[in-house]
Amino acid sequence: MSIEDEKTGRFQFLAENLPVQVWSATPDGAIDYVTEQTARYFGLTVDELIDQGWKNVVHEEDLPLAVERWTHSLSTGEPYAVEFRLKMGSGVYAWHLAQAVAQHDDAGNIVHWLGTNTNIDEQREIRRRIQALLDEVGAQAKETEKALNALRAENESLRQQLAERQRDPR
Amino acid sequence: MEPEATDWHAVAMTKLVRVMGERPAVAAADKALRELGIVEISSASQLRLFAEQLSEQGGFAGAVGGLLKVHATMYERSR
Repeated sequence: MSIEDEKTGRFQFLAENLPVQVWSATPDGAIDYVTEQTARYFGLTVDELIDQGWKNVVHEEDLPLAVERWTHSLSTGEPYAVEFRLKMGSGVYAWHLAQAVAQHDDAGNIVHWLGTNTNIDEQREIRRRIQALLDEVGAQAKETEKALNALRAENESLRQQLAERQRDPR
Repeated sequence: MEPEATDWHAVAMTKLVRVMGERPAVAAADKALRELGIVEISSASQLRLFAEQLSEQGGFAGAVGGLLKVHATMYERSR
């Protein structure tokens, strides 16, 4: 086995076993490589996924932002990052963080985009729950303040009545 | 404060569902109700007991339990 073959084998082993989807794209943004585990995740073959790209698996509501960010990165060379829902092989959508960086040649030209998609569905749900809980805490604090103010007003009124009775016991 | 006809069950479930989402909220509520031996929350004092059960579950259910306990206690103290 040549050194080159060994390097390629090592990369493939790494890419296939990382707990993320690994892919690459040409400088104009066309997907030209996905790992087999990535394709299996969507219930597709590697060739089908490369042929169709992400558009068929990205949730339609998230597609405009993904396209906007990808287009921006392709034209500027800036790292790509976007959160979107991807349709898994089961038909269920799950939130993913897609990230990609450009690989440059010695002259500074982009030769490839190397990317990953990470399932962040659980983190998104925890983030949503924390925000909802904070909203509830805020609402409860306002409600409690209102109730305490009402009790304080009632207490003040009783104190005044008591003071009046003490001044005029009849 | 709250009118007499408060739907205590709805008060609890609304907060739970908002924070946890429908399915986990129903599961947490069912567990707490089972522990109490009731099928619905029909008073402020039951809400407080329900909240205490939720608190024992910990996590997000426990946090909502804490809020509901304050809600029930404030209501009871203001009567």
